[in-house]
Amino acid sequence: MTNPTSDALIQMINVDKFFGEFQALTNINLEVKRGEKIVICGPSGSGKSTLIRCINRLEEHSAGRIIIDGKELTDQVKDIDAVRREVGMVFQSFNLFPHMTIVKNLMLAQQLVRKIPKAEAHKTAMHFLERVKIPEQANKYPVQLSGGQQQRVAIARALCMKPEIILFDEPTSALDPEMINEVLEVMTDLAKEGMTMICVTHEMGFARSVADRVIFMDAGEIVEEAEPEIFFNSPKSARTKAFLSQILTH
Amino acid sequence: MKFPLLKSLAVGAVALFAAGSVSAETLRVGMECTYAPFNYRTADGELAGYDVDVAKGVAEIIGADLEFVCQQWDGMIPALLANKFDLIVASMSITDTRKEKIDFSGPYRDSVGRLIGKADADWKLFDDNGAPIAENFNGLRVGLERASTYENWFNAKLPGAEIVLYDGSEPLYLDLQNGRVDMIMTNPMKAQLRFLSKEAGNKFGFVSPAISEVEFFGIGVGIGLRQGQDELRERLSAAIRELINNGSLKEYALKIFPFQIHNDEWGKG
Amino acid sequence: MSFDLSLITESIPKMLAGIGITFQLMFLSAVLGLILAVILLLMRISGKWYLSWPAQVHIYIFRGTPILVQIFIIYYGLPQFEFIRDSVFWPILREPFGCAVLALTLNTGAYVSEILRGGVLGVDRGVLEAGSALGLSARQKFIYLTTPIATRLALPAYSNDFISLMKATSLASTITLLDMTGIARTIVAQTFAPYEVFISLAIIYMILTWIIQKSFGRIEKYLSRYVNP
Repeated sequence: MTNPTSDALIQMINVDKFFGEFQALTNINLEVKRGEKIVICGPSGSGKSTLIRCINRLEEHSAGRIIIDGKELTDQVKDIDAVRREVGMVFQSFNLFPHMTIVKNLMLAQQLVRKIPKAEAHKTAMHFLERVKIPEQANKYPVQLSGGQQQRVAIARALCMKPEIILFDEPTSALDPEMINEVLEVMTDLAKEGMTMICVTHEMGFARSVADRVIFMDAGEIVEEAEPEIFFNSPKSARTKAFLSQILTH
Repeated sequence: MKFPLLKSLAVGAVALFAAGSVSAETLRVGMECTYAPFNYRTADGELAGYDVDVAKGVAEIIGADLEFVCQQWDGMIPALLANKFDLIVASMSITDTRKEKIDFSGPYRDSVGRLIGKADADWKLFDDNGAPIAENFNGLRVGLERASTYENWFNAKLPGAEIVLYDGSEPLYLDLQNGRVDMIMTNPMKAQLRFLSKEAGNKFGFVSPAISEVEFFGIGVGIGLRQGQDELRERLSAAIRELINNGSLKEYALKIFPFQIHNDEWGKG
Repeated sequence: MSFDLSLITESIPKMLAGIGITFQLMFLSAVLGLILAVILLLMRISGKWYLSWPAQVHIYIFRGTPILVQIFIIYYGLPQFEFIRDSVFWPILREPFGCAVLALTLNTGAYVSEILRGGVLGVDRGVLEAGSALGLSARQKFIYLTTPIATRLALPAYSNDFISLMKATSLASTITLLDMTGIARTIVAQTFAPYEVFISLAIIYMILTWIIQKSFGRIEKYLSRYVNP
């Protein structure tokens, strides 16, 4: 199967996803160029998490094609592994490895997946802990850190793998309000450095200032897709308008 | 109208009660109930065997009622001491160790043991006088019942043998067949009936003469009772002598074996 | 009834002569049982019916029947078959020790595999997803994430099973082994003093239980260092 000619880093072509009878994604078409920052928003249950989980195969799409940096996601384990090496992910509930210290959390996949020697993995880990401004927590266990700190560790952990793309699945939803900014700051810095990002988030301020494009999903479909300026100021769809009026008045 | 009926019922009850109390005592007798042919249940569930006959014969002479209690062998004496029953009539040999805890009547059966092993093997375990050759027992695995008199005999006479202890005699036969032990020592009368005469035992046979050392196996089998009942013990002993002298014991034995299993001397008291 | 204290002081050293057998039964069955448990667990979570089904049957049989019956079937039952007496396993099955270890291993393996499965099911799915997202293979996730986390979750239940196993070794006395209980039963049969002897025996087992509990408590504390640092 030949890939459609495109300079896109991520291509989703006519992707459907079913959970049993329930259709979670309907005919998704999305292209993300290298260095692009995409924010996906929409009501809960609209399929936004499912969409990004399909990109690194935490969910298997039911139909259509997903091509990451020229590699198509198939059932082949080696394809999946190749894609996962390129795609980092940050979860809503951090999902740090509870039984390992912070620095070990950052080293594990480097050593196992990238076969990087321990000393170098440690150096990389400390480098990215500095980047997210918590190097002093290196030898603590996750449970000893605040939610905001844990999420920064999770971002550092993804960065250690030197991914081409990072997927954020509602990274601030589980945080206390006073911790949201420290995480958004780290994400904004990343964006400035040119990282390709897809963020599922309701942080509309972040979307406005960082996103190249904002995508609105509802009922498993992409309803509207626009630059933030246009998206927020003159949304076309009635569903987008209703959603925005709800979320912005909050 | 109702009164005469009630009255007659009451009278009947009193009469029954009186009748029940005529034979003064009820003796509870402990035995394994699985130790054929000495004490066991028949297919109809009735208790039968030499011990049972002796218990009934003695009871008739001393005028007591019997109640049988089934009890596992290794708990027999503790159960007697705990007053779960009054007498042990269970083929229990009279020994000094046992006498420290309980009393015995005079003997009603002799106590011997014989070794059983593969019939076709040439064991050479005993000299011409019937004495064991100790070194030929070295390393032999011998199955015995836990705390039987045979165990003491082996420990004293044949320490080179490897003793394996069992609870009950059926496992002894099983492990002899299964090849886990080289031979077993047990009561020859019982082994003949339960094992050697059966298909399972047809490759096995006695590999020793009858061993009867009073020092180890005691003078024989007696009725056990709690200490401090000398009067009862004497009545039991006298009853056994009577059973010997009037030929009842021999009669009981001949139901099962082609020979008597007591010593007539005991009848002289 | 009279209580003979000197009998206690006499019989305890005799019974302790059997503690070696008790320990051998316990540790050998525990180690082999744990290996069996892991194999059964992997079979059960393999997702392949021809692996998970036999594992479930094994677990059902050995959890569903009394261990004493299992010991009797292995010890008295198996040798009834000629081919077993002719097999290479006969040197093990001929010995009551081998039969006891086999029975205890099969039994504890079934229980422990269920305990481990509980631990595995208790591992947060999100943690495993994070592993997947970082590119860890299924095997790497199992070794580096599931195993250490599930071990901590399963440990309290496992320590209970270990104590059960220790106590179950006493059943080996029913197949002629002279472990502590076997010796105790022999002493009782000789001295006709069940209270003194069995109470002494009970005290020894209680001390062993206490030691096992304390040891597992320490291991648990160590493994939980990341939960209550």
